Amino acid sequence: MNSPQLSLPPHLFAKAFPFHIVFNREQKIIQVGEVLQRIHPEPLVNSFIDQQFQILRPKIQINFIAIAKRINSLFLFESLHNGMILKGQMMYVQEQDIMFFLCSIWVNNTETLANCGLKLKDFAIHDQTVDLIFLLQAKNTALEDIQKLTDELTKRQTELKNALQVQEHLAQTAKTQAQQLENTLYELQQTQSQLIQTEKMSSLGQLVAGIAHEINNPVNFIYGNIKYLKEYTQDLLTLIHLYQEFYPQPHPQIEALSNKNDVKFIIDDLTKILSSIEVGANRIYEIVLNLRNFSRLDEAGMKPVDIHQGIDSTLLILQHSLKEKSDYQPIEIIKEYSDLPPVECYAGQINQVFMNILSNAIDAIRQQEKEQAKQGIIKQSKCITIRTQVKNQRHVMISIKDNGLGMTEEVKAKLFDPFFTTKPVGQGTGLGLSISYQIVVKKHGGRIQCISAPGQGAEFIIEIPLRQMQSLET
Amino acid sequence: MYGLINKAIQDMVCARFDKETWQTIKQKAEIQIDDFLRMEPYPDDLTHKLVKAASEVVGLSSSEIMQAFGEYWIQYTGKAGYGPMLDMGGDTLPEFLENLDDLHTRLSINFPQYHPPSFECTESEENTLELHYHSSRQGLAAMVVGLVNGLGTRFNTEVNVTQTQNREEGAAHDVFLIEYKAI
Repeated sequence: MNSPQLSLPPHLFAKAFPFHIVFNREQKIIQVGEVLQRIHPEPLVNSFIDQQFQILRPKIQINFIAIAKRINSLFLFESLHNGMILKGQMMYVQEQDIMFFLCSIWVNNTETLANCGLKLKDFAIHDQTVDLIFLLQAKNTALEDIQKLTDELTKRQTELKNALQVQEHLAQTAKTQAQQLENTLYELQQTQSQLIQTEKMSSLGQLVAGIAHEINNPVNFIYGNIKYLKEYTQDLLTLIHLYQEFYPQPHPQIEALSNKNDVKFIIDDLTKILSSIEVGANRIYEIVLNLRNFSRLDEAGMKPVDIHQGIDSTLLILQHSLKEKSDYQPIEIIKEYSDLPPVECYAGQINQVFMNILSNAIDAIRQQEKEQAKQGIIKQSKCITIRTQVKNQRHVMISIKDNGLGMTEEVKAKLFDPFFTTKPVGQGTGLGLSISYQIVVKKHGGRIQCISAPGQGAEFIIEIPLRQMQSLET
Repeated sequence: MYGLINKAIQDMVCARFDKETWQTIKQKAEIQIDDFLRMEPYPDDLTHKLVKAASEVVGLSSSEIMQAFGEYWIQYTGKAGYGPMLDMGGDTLPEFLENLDDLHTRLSINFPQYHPPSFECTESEENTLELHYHSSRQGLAAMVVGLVNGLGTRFNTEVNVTQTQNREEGAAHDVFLIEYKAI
C-alpha cells in the first residue's frame, strides 16, 4: 500500500471528523470532535472513556488492548449519559500510542436529531448519515402510504364481503321465494286437477249410482217374482198334464188351438225361458251391485275393503272396451290374485285409480293395434295382467301390466305431472295419473311406479298400506 | 415529480376549500387516481394539469396558485415527517437558504427521479439576500416566492420577495431579491 505523502492539517481534520474521539492507553480522552462535544451532556476531554461510553459492538469491554485487538471491527459506542450512539472505526497511532475513534452519530429515527439539536452543517459533507436520515424518512413515508392503502384495501374487502353477503342473502331470498312460488303453482295445479277430476269422477259416480239405484227397484220386481213365476208356471203345467191325462180326447176347439200354438213346444220352452230370465235377472242384479260398489258414494270415510271387488267392479264398467270389435281383438284379463286381507282405504278413490290405469292400459293396447294395422303387422294376443299380493305383512301390492305400446323415458319422466297427456287433443285430460298419484301417495301414504319401455308394454305397481295412520292427508 | 407534491396540492385544496372542490379539480384534470403515493414518481404533466384545473375551478391564476402552494409546501413537509430535516436546514432564514441547495442535492441522491432545482444564495447587503434559482422545469418561479414566504413564517421573519430576473422574460435564470427582518 502506498502511504499518502500528505495529511490533513488539524483544523481540516476536525471539519472532516466533527464527532471523533482520541484516547490514550490509559483510556483518557485527549481530543474530541467539536460537534460531539457540543451535543454530549458531559465534558469529554480529560475524562476516561469508560466513564462516558460503553461498547455495544464488538462485544468487548472498553480496554485499550482489547480495542486494539479488534482494530478492524465496526465499533458502536453508546453514551452512558444520553444513550447517543456513535458508529465508526478505530485507528491506532503507534508513534503516539493513541487511538482515534473516527465516528459519526448513528440515528435510526428523526426524533434523535431534533433531541440532539444537530444541523446539516454539523455533519461533514462526505458523511452519509444525513442521506441515511433522508432515506429513512422516505421509507417511513412510503410505509405510511402502504399502510393507508392496506387499510383502505382491508376496508374495501370488508365492504365487498358484506356486499357479497347481502347479495348472497338476496339471492337466497329470491331462490326461496321462487321455490315457494313454484310450490304454490304446483299445489295450485294439483288442486285444479283434483277439482276437475273429482268433479268428473263425482259426476260419473253419481250417474252410475243413479242408474244402479233406478235399475235396482225394477230388477228387484223381476228378480223377486221369478221364483213365484216359476212355481205358478210349474203348477199350471202340472194342471195341464193332469188335464191331458184325465181327458185324453179334448174338445176339438181345444185341440185345434193346442195344435195351432204347439202347446207341446211351449211347455218344453217355457221352462227354458224362465231359466233364461232367471239367469238374465241374476246378471242384472250383479251388474247393479257392481255399479254401486264402483261408485261407493255411500262410503265417504276410510274403511277396510276388498281390493279384488274394487278391481272387478272397475273391469265390469270397462267390460265393453275389452270386447272384440271390428278393428280390435278382445283383451284378455289375466287375474293373478293372492289372498288379500281387507285394505283400509277410500274405496271410491282407489277404484278411481284402477279405472285410470286400466283405461290407459286399454288405450295403449288399442293404440298399438291401430299402428300395427297401419303397418300391416300381424295381430298378437292382447292382455292385461292384474296381480295382487301382500308385501311384508304391511302393504298390498297391485300390479296392472299391459302388453301395449309402452312408453319412452321422456314420457315416463312426466307421467304423473298434471295435464301431461300423450293422447290426441280432446281425448285425454292429462289428469288421470296425476290424480292417481295424489290418491295413492298423498292420501294413502302409498307408492306408485311405472315400469315401461317402448314396445314393451307398461306395468303400474301400486302399493298401499294395509292400515292407515291418522296423520295422512284427508 | 414525486407524489409528495401532488399530495400536497390535494391537501392544500382540501384545507383551503373542501373535498368536493378537490374532486371537481381532479375530474376537470381527468385524473383517475384516488390516492397519490408520496414516494412514487408521477409525470410532470399530471401536476401541471392539476394546477391548471385548480386555477379554473377556484378562479385564481396559475401563478397565484403556485405561490400559495409554495407557502403551503413548507407547512406540509413539516407536518409530513420532514420537520426534523427542515430543522437541520438551519435556525434562521438566511442559514436555511444557504443550506437549501445541499438539501436538494441530498434529496436527489435518494430520489434519482427527483431532478431537483438548484439554489444559490448570496448576501448582497445586510438583511438582503439574492436567491438564484435554476430549474429544468418551467413556470415554477412563483412557487419559489411562496416558499420563501413560507420560510419567513417558519422562522418568524418578515420577508419581502421581489423577482429581479425572470427566465420567462429571457433571463438565463430566475433571481429573487429577499429582504428579511427577524420579528
